[in-house]
Formats: sequence, C-alpha cells, structure tokens
Amino acid sequence: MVTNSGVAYIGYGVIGFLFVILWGPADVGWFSAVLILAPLYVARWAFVQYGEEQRAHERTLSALVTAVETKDPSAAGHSGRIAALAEWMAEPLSMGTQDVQALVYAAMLHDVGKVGVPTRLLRRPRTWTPADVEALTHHSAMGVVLVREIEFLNGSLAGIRHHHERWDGLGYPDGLAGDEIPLVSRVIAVADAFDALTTDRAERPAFAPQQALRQIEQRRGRQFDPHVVAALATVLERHDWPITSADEDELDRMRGYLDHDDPIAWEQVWATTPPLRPAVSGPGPTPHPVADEPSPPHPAAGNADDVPVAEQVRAP
Amino acid sequence: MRSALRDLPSRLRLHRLLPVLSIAVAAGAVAAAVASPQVPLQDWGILLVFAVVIAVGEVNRIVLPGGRETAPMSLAAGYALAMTWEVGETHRVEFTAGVVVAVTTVGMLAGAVPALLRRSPVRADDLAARFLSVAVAAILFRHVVVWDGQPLLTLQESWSSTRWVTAISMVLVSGIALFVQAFCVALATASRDHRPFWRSLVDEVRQGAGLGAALAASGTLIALAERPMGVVALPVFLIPLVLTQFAIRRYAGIRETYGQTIRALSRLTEIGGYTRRDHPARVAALSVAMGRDLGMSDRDTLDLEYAALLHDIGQVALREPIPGGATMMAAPADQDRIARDGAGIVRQTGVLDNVAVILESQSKPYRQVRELGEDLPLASRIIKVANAYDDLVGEARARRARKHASAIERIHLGLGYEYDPRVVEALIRVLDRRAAVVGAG
Repeated sequence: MVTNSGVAYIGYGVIGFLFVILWGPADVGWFSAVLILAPLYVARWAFVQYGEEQRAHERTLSALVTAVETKDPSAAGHSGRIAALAEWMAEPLSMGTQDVQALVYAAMLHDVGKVGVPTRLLRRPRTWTPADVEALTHHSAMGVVLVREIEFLNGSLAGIRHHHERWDGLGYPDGLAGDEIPLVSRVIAVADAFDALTTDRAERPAFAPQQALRQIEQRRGRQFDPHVVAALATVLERHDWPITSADEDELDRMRGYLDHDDPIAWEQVWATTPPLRPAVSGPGPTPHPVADEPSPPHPAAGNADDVPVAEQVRAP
Repeated sequence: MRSALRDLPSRLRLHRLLPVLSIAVAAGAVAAAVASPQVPLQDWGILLVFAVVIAVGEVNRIVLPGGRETAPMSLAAGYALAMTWEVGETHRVEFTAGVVVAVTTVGMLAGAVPALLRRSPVRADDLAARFLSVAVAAILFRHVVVWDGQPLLTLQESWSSTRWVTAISMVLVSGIALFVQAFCVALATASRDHRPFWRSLVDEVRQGAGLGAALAASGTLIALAERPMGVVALPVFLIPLVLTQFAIRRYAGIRETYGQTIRALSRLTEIGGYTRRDHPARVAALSVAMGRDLGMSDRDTLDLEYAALLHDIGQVALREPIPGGATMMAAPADQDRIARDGAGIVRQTGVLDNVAVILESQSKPYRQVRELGEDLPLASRIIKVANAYDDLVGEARARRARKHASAIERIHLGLGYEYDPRVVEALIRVLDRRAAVVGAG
C-alpha cells in the first residue's frame, strides 16, 4: 500500500516537473498541457478497459461454475458459498494473500470436473458398481484438465486435484496423507463437507451449524486436518452461517441425487460398494455393509456424538 | 474480377514484401548517410543515445489486445529523432533523414537480437512497418518543402515566438507517420489473414488511435524538450509513455486470460462427453477464417470466435449426450433448445450479450431471412455452416478427402434453404486455401 502510493507520488512529481520544463524553458506554453495529458489519458483509458475486462472475466468464470451446477441441482450456489467460507478460514490459518487468491479460485472451481461425470451417476442408483464410484471420483482430476490452460489458475490446480484427499490417506485421487495434501485442498475439504451438511437434502433436513461442526469434528484426524477443523470452529464464532434451505420443488428435484461432498452420504456409498477406491493402490478401507448398523447420526438424534460415524463405517 | 482484386495483397504476399522494402530503404539510407556531409562529433553522442533507447524500446515490445505486437518507446524515440532540431539552447543539429534512418536501423536491429538469441519469433512485418514509419517522419520533417522553399527543420527558427505552431507541426508529422504504419500493418494483415484491405485499415486506425495519440505526443514532447534539457529529455519524457505502456500491457493480459477462460468453457462439453474432441476449437478456427474473409471487423470477429467456441455449451444441460455430439444431426427442435440453453448460460455472465445473441440464432435456417425477412446475425450464419462442415467431416483422418467432398455436397444441398450462399462461398475459399497450404507443405 505504502509502496504503491509512494511510486504514484514520485510519478506525480515527475509529471509536474515535465510540465514546468515544457511550459517555461521550452516555450511551448498552453499547448504543453495537451502534449503531457495525451499519454496519461491513454493510460487512464487502458486502466479503465482493464477494469472492465477484469469484471467481465470474473462474471464469465462464475458462469463456468453455474453451467456445472445446473447439471446437479443439489449443488446450486454451493461453489460460491464454500469460496466465501474458505476465505474466512484462511484468516485463522494465517495464509498469505497469494495463497488466499489460489484458495478462493480453487474453492469456486473445485467441482468443475463434475461436468465430466455422466448425469445418471449424480443420481443415487440403488447399487453402486465399482466402475460408477470410480467415474465419480474422477471429477477432481477432470477439473484440473478443464482449467489447466487458464494461466492465472495455475496456483489453484493442486488445490482442485486434491480436494477429496483424506488426512488418513484414504482419499482420492492420489491417496495423499497429512501434510502431503496441499493446505488449499485441506481447507476446501472441510468447507465442502460443512456446506453440504448445512444444506437441506431430500433425505434429511440441514444440520444446524454447530451440529454440522460436531460432525466434522468427529472426523478430525481421520478425514480432516485438525488445524483446519479448529479454523472452522473459530470462523463459526465470528461469523453467522445461515443454513441453505430448499423448498418442496427444489427438494423434489434433488431427490435421488447423491451429494458426494456430504461425508455421511458418501460414507454410506463407500461402505456398501466393494472394492472402493480403484484409483488408489495399497490397502483400501475394509468394505463393510452398514445395512444393520445404526444409521448415521441425525440432528434430531444428538446422542451419537460419542460414536464417530467414520468409526462405524470402517470398523472391521 | 472482384475477388481477384480482393485477394491482391495475399497474392502479392505483401507481408513478406514489407521487410524486403525496409531492407532496401535501410540500405539506401546508410549509403546516403555515408555520402552526406560529415556529422560533427557532438552529434554522434546524441545519435548514440537515440540508438540505445530505440533498441531498449524494441526489447520491451508489448502485445496489444488482439495479439498484434508494437514497441511504443522505440517508435516515440524514432519520431523524436526524426524531428530533433536543437539540442541545448545553442546547438543546432542538421543531419539528414539518411542519418536518422541509419540510426533507427541500427537501434531496431540491435533490439531484435535478444529475441533472436532466445529463438522467439520476431514479427518482421510489424518491425518493417515501424521502421518505414520513422523513415517517413524523418523525410517529412527534414526534406519535404512546406513553406517558402523550406522544410519544417529550418522553418523552426522563424517560429521561435510561437512554439505551439512548432508543436502542432510535429504532432502532424507524427500523425502522418503513424498512419503510414497503420497502412503497412493493414496491408500485412490483409495479406496474411486473407481479409479485405479496407476492413483491415479501418480496424488498424481505430485500434491504433489511442496509443497513436500518446506516441505522437511523446515524440513531439521529446523533440521540444531537447532544446532546454539536451538529450536527457529523451529518457525523462518517455516516463508518461512507460505508464501508458504498462496500462496497455495489463489490458492485453486480462484480454488473454479472458480468452483462455472462454476456451476452457468451450471444453466443458468435450470433457462431459457431449461433443467430439476439439470440435469447438475447430469450428472456432474455421469460423474466424470465414469471418475475416467476409470482412468482419476485429471486434465482431472476437464475438464470433467466442460464440463459435461456446456454440455447444447448451448441451451441458442435456441429460444424455447426443450421439457423436453432432448437433447437425439432431432434430431441429432439439437444435433450437440447445441454442436457447446455450444463450441462456452465456447471458448469465451479463457481459457476453453479443455472444448470446449470436448463439440464439445459430440453429435458424437461412430461409428465415429470405421468407420472413428476419435479421439473422452474420456470425450465426457462419457458425451454422462451420458447425455443419465439422460435423459432416468428422475426425476421420483417413478418407478425409472423400468426406470433405461429400460434406460440401451435403451443404450445397441446403444452400439457400438452410445455409447462406455467401457464407458457403467463404467456407469453400477458406478450405481451398487450407488445401493449398497442405499441398504446398
């Protein structure tokens, strides 16, 4: 800020000096105003054009996101919300300006790859074949393919690719664990799940923010980075987070759609679909039917806090 | 006959001829400089400073929005050198235009060296246009008799009490030189991109007007300020232009980014499995070539390019892909719906309204123009033809020639009813040129 205005003031000084030279010693008089102002005016014009194109560009980027969200009615507005939440979370995590930029864009675009997932898979089929699950898990890598030619998004590519990695290394597409996962991805993973939980779904009402936080906290150290979960808790103390409610029509349209960001729904699919993550080599989670286990905790249930859902699903 | 005249710049390969012409002018100027009366020692220093600044200006070329290259600092310094008449209060310089052009040659060639070393391409026709423009300024200012048997160079003495007349005369000289540059560049683009020359010139003048004003003013400023300040005026008075250059570079940068984003958007359908690989990119390349051939302005060509890239985006809203992604084969009602959905998605940006209008009409048959008097945008008609051709030819490398022939035949069957005959003619011209290039290579 200071350096910027410093340079600007030196610039004003130089231009004033040029003006004086031209008017006086060079004897040009009033016409010097025209000559000096021409390059400055053109510069101003170019800056205005730049601003307009910049705005146009941002609108177009968000259209890219909207186009994808029309494909999956349960995702309307999701990208924009998690971009805002991720930006808030960057503050307690002390991220630098550039990282925050990369984070916000990665959050906006984390699901663009979903356009490459066949529409029928975004609905919840009765049975999931391993091929179906694999197709769905391709979306994070596919998103990178889609936007990698946009130069200014280069910093966000890793964030998009790894946003479904898990802290314990059981995520996709690369099975990274702990600090190997880019921070941007770890933040998006938490924000993503939190927004999914606080959104009305056909099969359950939205969790209240504190209950959703509890769900996330149960998965800390397994699915999520504990520091990032703590950042989410801090953010929720400072900001209000409205739940995203849906009316009857919207719920109806969502019926049968699978929200892959919802940790509870995903764990169910995961648990009932052997073998699970074909993309990852090494021991995968043990497939285990959950049909006769207690259903995942519901906001109304409240007493399941001491039995983490991840535990239930992954128990041998 | 008309088309023969239209294609004249291309046929003469003017974009190759311009650099040759420049080399001839440069050689002549060097010869004239050697033959001219001895340049005093003091002037050598001044000329050296100019050569260095021109070289630095050439190294710091900028890419204008739209992709053309220019070197504002080099041009401004060149004009200033052409119009230098007094350096310091007492020292009058009287070197000829030959010397000016020789110094410019040295500066510009030196400025091209780093690019050549990096093996990045130097646009010879743009460089030639800049060079010729400085040469014209030098001859105009130093040798062309304008009043009372004297050129502007010697007239300056009699205008010592009315310096603003000097200033205006210098702005005029730079203005004419800039027009010469625009003229040369327009010849080159008309020749390279097979566009009508007149269209290229109008675009060049319109787009160059802003930067041109800054350049003419800067050249004049430097030439005037050399009297009180000496040759120091050159770097000092380039400062406002540096700011201009910076602003334009940023503008061009965001335009480029914008283009990248649109291209990424265009691949949505491809990655979703709705369209064949690179279909939008191929349709866009073909559409742009046809648009240029039909004399569309740069502004309209850009809208056309974006619309062609996004023409299938409406398919994203489809539940299941059309077989092969070929909208051409889809039922008319489906085509209309895809066009409408696509326009809807694009309109949501709030900034691509022109593109949305083009997309809306892309599926409408040409007969609506003739029978109902409807006004279909030219860009829509172009995309319709380009899309049909690409759908018909498909990807098959093998049998391409036969597929090409049958595609053209299919399109000919729809001539006048489905497709605009004028646009189909443009398609055939563009494809013939491509075939010629492939055949020659």
